[in-house]
Amino acid sequence: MTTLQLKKVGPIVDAEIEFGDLTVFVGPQASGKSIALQWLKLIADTGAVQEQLHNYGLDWSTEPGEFLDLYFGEGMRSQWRHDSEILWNGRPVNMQSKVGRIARSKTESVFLIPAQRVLALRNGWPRPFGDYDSGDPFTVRAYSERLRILMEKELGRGNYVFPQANRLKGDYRKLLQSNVFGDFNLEIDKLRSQKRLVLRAGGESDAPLPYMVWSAGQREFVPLLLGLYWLMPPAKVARRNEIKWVVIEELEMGLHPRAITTILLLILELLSRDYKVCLSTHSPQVLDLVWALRALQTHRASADDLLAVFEAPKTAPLRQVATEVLKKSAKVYYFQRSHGTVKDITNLDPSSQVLEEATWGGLMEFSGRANEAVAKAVANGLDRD
Amino acid sequence: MSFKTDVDATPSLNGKYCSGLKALPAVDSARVSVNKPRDIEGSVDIDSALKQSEPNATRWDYVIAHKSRLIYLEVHPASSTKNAGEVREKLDWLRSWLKRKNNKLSSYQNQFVWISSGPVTFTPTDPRIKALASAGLLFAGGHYKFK
Repeated sequence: MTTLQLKKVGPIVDAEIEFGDLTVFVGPQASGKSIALQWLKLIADTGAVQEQLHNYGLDWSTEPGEFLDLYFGEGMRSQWRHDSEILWNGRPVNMQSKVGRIARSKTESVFLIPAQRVLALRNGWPRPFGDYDSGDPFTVRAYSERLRILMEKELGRGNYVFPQANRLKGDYRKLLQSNVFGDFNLEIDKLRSQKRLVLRAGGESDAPLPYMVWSAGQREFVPLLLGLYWLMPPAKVARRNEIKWVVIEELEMGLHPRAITTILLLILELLSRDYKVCLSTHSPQVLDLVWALRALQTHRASADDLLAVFEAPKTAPLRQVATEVLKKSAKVYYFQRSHGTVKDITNLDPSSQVLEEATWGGLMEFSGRANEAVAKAVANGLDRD
Repeated sequence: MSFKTDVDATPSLNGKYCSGLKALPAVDSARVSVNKPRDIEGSVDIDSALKQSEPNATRWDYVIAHKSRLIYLEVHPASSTKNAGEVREKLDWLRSWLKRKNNKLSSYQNQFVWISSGPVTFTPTDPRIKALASAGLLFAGGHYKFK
């Protein structure tokens, strides 16, 4: 089991995280979820990060603060203090030597899809790494560059980006069509010599819809879809072998619950391909999945029971995915901003006397209060009639 | 007028008043908490009180007087869909019982609360829980805290 301990890092006073096959972080804004996920990437992929920074002409001194500003973004050096401490699998990480010298291994094992992914596209095409300011977070720049290469080398030769017969299972394509794209296809179009992604309805006379007129959800979703394409290569290759971890920040952004359902189904697909998946979220739907998965495992439910959570078709490929996922472990952590602590709330027990667990890290608080207010008003209103 | 007086004046509850939370067995009183115990004016085990006179009714469990309000508590499983329907039936019975002639408890402000007696498979966002809230019933999970 992989562990990450953070002490006095940014808003985090003390966190001990034991990763499962699926790990979910919840908590209010600025509680340290994103910082923890970016540290996971930096510790696992130090050499690859350094190499990419060097390749784009960026340099730093042996002083950790300068490197942290480059990696996390301008001003983020303040998260690291003289008494900050990080332990990776129980071993202390020496920050000075970690960033001060060039790591030998250039292998990349963590694929991080950042919350700011919408910035990766400009006018419907991925921005190159060098297009960003040096104060912009590395994870955003690196993700954007990855999408650019994917578009140039793998997807840019044809016209259709979605749907594509050799990308994603047919069941997923149908669900995405119905829950995200509606009657539109995602296509590559050329405006003069400039390539761009557009949405286009089926009819030949239908005009292409450029990036700026897409819905907010579609603008959020397309960069995520491209990342998922990269993680799930076409044909017989199940996964990018060097990648072990997939980190997705706030997968729910801008999306209707039905679209979120489809993306969660794609998360199952990633798990079935033996990726370890880490998510940060503000969506109770994501925790509903963990809650259901654990309960179904406890009661030895079937693959069909898991697919029923998604109203997904019970086809052989999806049954195989669900069967694999029922063998996977899941963990949930609540980042508590006021105390700077991180609590394991994996059981998600609504009857727990631990408030953070019963309210699923605060995601159920509002709903609980709404129920209480309505029940009280109805109880006294009805009975006075 | 006090809660005890009203309990004694309600035909089926005469003599069933208990001080504090004493009407609740230890296993159920552990499912509730209160900041100031002296705010609890008393309690009644409705289920036991009406067992003989209404053996086949879907009787409610307890009523507790707290700060001049009555909290009606039902301790019931919450592990399957049918449980929500069962508690709803109990609520219907309770409401009709409160409307009976000479029921002195009917003039109070009420709160109807369902506490789970075991594992919980409902969350606050579950449509069945919302439906119960719309019917005036709060599902409190495994624990209820008096406010």
